[in-house]
Amino acid sequence: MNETLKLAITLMVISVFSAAALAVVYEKTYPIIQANKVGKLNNALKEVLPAEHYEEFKLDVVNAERSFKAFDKDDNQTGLIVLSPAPGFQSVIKVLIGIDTKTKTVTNIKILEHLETPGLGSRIEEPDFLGQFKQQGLEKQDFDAITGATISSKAVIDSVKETANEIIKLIEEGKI
Amino acid sequence: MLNLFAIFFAAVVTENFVFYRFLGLCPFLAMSNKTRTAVGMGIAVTFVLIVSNSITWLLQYFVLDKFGLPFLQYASFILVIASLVQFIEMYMHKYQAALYKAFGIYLPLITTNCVVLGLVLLTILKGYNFLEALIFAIGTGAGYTLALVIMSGIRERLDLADVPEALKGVPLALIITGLLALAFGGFVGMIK
Amino acid sequence: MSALKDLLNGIWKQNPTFRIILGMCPALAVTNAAINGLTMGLATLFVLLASGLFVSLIRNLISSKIRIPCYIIIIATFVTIADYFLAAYYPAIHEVLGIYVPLIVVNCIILGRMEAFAGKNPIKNSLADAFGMGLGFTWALVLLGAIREFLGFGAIFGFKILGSWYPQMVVMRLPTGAFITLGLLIAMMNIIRKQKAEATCHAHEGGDKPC
Repeated sequence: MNETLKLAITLMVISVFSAAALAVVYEKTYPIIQANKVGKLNNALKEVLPAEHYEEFKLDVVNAERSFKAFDKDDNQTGLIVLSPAPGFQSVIKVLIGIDTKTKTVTNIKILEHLETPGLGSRIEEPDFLGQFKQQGLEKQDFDAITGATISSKAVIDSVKETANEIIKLIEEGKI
Repeated sequence: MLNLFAIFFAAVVTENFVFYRFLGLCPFLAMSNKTRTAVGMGIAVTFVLIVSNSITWLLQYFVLDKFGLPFLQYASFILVIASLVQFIEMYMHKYQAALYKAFGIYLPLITTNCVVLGLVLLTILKGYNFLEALIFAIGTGAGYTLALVIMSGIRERLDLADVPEALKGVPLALIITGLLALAFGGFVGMIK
Repeated sequence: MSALKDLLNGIWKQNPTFRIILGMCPALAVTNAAINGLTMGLATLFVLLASGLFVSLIRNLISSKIRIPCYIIIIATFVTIADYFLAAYYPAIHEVLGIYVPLIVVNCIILGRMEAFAGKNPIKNSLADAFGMGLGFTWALVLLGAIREFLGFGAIFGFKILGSWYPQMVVMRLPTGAFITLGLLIAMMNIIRKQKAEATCHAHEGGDKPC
């Protein structure tokens, strides 16, 4: 019993040191990481749908994790941006979808976060792939996936289609 | 329901952990020589997968997330897996001595088997709920066992063939794995 | 110098990928292009060095029975720290390394070297071994990645070498290509090693007797 106790204590000491070290590093880095995330989101919003300012709001659409209204400098709403989670190959891909309320088209999309396979799934960030969605409306439903990255690219395509279709329909019905 | 089936099918066939995700290769190449040990290893790994995935899921959402301790994820998950394997080792040593001997070093090595850690991390990354996580674990174990058994069947036959010296052992096993991956790759995109 | 020998060991004689055959999982997963192989290799080298240092430092304080869980905790702790550190201060690099981080945690090379070397050897030698293994792993991955990228994309490190006439072998980008390339590379290394051994043997024995 004595030996087992010694082993347990050693393990516990190492675990405590480990947990302590991790807690300290976390405390110091958490605020910075959050700030980075906010900065990244703001830049992404501007890329997807350039506007004067944005306002987050709650949109009750199944794929909309977060939603933002975009306003021009006269405070008119020009469009909205939705953060949509797409189940990828080995992570949940966060897609930012910008929709113009006047033309009822997708302005642009941007991959905000993903942890897909480097060199394969990560190609969803390529401009050739993302460019397919620029200025597209309900008429276009066919998009090309990426060879060797079927699951990742299809996940993005399906998510964009589902979310955009639903939102554009809501706009046409005057609900947004 | 269909979603659960999709998860199971993907884990076994279309996104097999060995052939598509490159996980669990070291023990896969080492334990796939004979079908008997292959099946035993597959079952052992499946058991570890199911139990550890359940525990780590609960750990993540009821402890780590609740108390704001995301930085303990890797360390705590690994501790869960290590403890579980330790228990299995003790159990097998006592009640399944023959199998325990056959496993040798590879039983404790299940701890470092990337399939297990890969599965528990992937479950969280994919945001599965508890039921989905359970099915995912069962499917992964089944897929891993399937890979092991197919491989062992082939290798048992290869034992009787005249293989060039340089290719003997791991190189040939890798090439076979590659061809199997090609075959399994034909299933990609089958679901949805 | 013994430490130098330990360092060179990992680069060829006991190359982790081609000889000891450890850490294949992340090796195969990210070597679809040379740059990814390089990134993975360097990240692993970094963790090898740090873990090797810590494990070697406390090697006499840990009982042999629980050394494996202890090593794992140390490795996981350090990888997590590195992850958060990068995410906070070098977010651009962190994005590139994205999925590599959890992959390093499951890399058996690190645990393997802690177990086989750092846990039993002084700090200087442990660091040398870690460095050598890390370098060996890195060049193996770069080679693997370069071959797969060349055949799969017609490029190396992003530089297009083969023109558009080349029908890119997509299979090389996929798992199959990874497995087969690694298998053939190991076989090749085996041949090279055997020829080298025979040459040295003949040189010693005078060329008559079989080696």
